[in-house]
Amino acid sequence: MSGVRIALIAALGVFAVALSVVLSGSPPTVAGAGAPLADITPLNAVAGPARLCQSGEVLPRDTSAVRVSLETLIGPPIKLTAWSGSRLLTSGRRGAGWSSGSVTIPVKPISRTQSHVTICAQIAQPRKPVGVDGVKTGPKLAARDAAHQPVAGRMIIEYLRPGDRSWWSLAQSVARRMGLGHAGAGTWIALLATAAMATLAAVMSWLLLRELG
Amino acid sequence: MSRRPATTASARTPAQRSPGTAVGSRVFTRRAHNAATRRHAARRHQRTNLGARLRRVPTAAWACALVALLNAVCWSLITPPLQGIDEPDHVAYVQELAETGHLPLASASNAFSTEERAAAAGLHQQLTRFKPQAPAISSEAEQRRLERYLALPLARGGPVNAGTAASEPPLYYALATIPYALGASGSLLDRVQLMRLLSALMAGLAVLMTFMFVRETLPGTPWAWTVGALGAAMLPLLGDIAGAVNPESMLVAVAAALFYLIARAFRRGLTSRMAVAIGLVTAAGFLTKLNFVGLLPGASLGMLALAIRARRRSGRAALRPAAIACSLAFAPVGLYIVMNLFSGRTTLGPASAISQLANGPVLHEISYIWQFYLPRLPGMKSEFPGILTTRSLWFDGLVGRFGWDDTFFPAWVYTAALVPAGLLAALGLRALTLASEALGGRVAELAVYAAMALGLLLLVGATSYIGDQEPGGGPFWQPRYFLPLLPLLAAALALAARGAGRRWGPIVGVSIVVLVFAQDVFGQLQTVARYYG
Repeated sequence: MSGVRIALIAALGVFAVALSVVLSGSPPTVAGAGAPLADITPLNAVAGPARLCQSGEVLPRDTSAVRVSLETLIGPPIKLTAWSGSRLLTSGRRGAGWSSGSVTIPVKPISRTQSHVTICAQIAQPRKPVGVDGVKTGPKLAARDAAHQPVAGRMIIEYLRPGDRSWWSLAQSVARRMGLGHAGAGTWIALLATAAMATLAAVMSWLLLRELG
Repeated sequence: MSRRPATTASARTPAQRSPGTAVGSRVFTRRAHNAATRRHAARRHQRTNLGARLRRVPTAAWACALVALLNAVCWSLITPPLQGIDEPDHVAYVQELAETGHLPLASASNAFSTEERAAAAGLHQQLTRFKPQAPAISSEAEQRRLERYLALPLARGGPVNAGTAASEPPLYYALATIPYALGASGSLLDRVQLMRLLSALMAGLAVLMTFMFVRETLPGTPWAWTVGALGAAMLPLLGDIAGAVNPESMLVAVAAALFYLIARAFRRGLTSRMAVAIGLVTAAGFLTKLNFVGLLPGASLGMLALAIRARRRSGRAALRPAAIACSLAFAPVGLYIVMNLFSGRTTLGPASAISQLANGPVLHEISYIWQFYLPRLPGMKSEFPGILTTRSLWFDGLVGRFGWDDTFFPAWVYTAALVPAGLLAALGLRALTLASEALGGRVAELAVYAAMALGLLLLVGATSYIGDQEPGGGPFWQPRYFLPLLPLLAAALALAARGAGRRWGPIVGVSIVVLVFAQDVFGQLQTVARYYG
């Protein structure tokens, strides 16, 4: 057997193992509910280094990441801390360069669900103002800035943790969803996409053996 | 190239010059018959010539193009309609052109037609984009509502401004009216999918040209052509763009054709036919997307270098092909200016904004553009505090940032990707070092490619600077703007494989291709998880 053939089998084998590992894992699920997306409005904009804290949160056990509704193009570094009174429950960091309407910060999971938690987001100097989105509330419930002044409402904070079901077991429902909102709606869209990639893999393998082997 | 003997007026016989006489009439009839026969023969020759030329394209090149096509088709199926970056604007442009025969109107108050707005509402397009927490529609009730919206007899045309697409030239959009018309009896979603297939075809064409470019630039290593072109074909960034309605898919194809033709001209000389091809491709580039302008300084330098070389060999007459190429290439610029003047836009559309740079603080502009790509130098004021742009914007973007830049890999993937990227860079450098002697004779050619790349980098950097200074604006930080440099990336991948040496090169080549394949598949899964998970 030629070296190229062995290399191709080995490389595709490693790929298959990686794919199996990923698909055997569970997609992160949101623990606790955020606001319906339609209700989210801009609350504030942060132009310099800032610290925003929101009390009255429930931090579920096994939370592996926290998603905060901050909006910008090239986001600055962010440090997130979760407090129960003066006790630090967990923390995490996200480097610069995040984008879009929310930022997900990985945190160290905790073993037990905690109530009355205060979540604080420490935002480094941004290039452009960072929009803080959320739901408008009265000052009592609102998030507060470093000077303890309330902003216009509560940020949307979501807690992500590994789900109970693997991607494999979700395949059917994912395929069904893929079939919605497309031309010629139906599960066949997922099958066609899979068939396209399988053909691609076959052509690629044939070509590599033919040209490099 | 075939040459026909020239027949001048003075060389003709009197009979040939007087078709009114009996003899002249006979001769004239015979001449007309001969001319028709010649034309027919020429047409047949052209057809067979084209057929022969297409047959000379290696099977591997067609196979790589097929891979790119399949990849883009797959991306087109997994990306929800109107969720490709800026796709709603591009769809609006095509729809306006197809339904009314007019270009979008800058002064129109609506960006989209009523039909497109209804489809976007049914798809929750506005609620979903930029919000990774918001999936695509996921229930039968939402699907039924969408179908109700799509079935309404809503206006397809009407003056629209097509948002960010408005100022782009019309060639891609004009071509997209063909699939749009084919799906005219279906819903807007049918038409979007058909237009996406046009983009996918463009990706196939781009990779075909990329293969041919690598073949011209690395003629001594045939197996490496496949490595470079396959790597390019499965680049998730290309699939993401070519799986949506977006003129950048065609820009990549046109730019790849330009790279190929220039490489071929350097290898085989600049003939008139080659010059016509370069001129037409450049004209097509002008008419496809304004970013193409960035490649022009380099391409012009290439024409100059080729003309000088040809003049040394064949004298002044050799300059004619270069003149042909330039005339053909710049003709659309005049057309574009006229179109802009008639549609109430600035003379050179958004490209006019570049003139603002001349009035700005030059040192600040230079500092900005430098830091847009590279680490800040001592003495420069920080333009991107806390961000290493080379890594955060460009490297991470190339590894994978999808859709509306709201779909990412987990953070560790970008860090892990530094390892293979570093290895590839080292192998590429090794190949260049080993081939340094051969490269000595190709300095002009390499300078042309470098100038084409630099021109695009400067154009995007300058445009970003202008956009960033505007209130509410931001930098243009998407690696998709550099997709026209796909042939250079493919050549770099091929070079890296070659750098591993004769024995290990093909094995490294296989590893590179499978690695890009994995990157592509996991990018698709990330997109699937984001919208349907």
